[in-house]
Amino acid sequence: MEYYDLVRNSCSFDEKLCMKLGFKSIAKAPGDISIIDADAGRSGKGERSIIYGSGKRLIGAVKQGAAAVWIKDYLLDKQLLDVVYDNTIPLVFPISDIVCANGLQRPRLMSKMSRLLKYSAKLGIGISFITMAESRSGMCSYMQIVEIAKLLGADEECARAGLSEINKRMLYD
Amino acid sequence: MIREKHRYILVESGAKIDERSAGAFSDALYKELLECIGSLSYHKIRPKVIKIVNANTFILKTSLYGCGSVVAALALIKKVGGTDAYFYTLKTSGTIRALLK
Repeated sequence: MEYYDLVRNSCSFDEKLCMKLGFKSIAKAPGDISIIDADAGRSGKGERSIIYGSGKRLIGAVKQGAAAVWIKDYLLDKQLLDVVYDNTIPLVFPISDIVCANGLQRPRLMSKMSRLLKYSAKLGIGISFITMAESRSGMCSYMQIVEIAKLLGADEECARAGLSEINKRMLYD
Repeated sequence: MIREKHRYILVESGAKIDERSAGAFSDALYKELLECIGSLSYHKIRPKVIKIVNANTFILKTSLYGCGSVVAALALIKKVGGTDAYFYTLKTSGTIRALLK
């Protein structure tokens, strides 16, 4: 199985580290894919992009098409998830948010992510696990991402698919 | 009595490990693992640094049951002994020989 990851442009890594961590390739955002803030009123029409935001503005942007959706604060919005499901767009779960969180912020974030993940999985929405690391300390090996995904409530198969097929489709197809 | 199975994990550290301070490093790492895993699971998992391979790679031994928890916990550890650190788990195996291949 080939695994793919996405990090921020500020994160420096080389080919050797990419191989060591078990990834076939690591994409950069912005660069290989852009992140568009739907709350600022922009949409990702015509370019490969991950739409970030919440509420009605995000629903509007999702309807115009995107490679993936990143929900702000991981709030469970059933109306939004229905739109995401209808448009067959995967949901993004950045693992570095958990890895780099401090103190009580981490369990809070994990419980929010877990709720969103379980509901999305039940609906049949594609789930993508990426690190979205800003520095090397936020990066993880594929094994670590799979284990953290399991902590969030994903099963092994879903976690591995989220790292391989869904990420490949989101980043390169 | 059934022999307990274990797993060896090859870990790369962001912090340099000095051979002389390896003991202090291990103790600090156990403390952080205990915090992440919790005391109830820690005694079942019994993590142990068994070999320092080079300046930033080492082998950690755990029980088979707790291998997943240790891999996840290593991703969450960002400080060891007061200094910034990060850990990547590169490989897991049932034998050291297979791990170092």
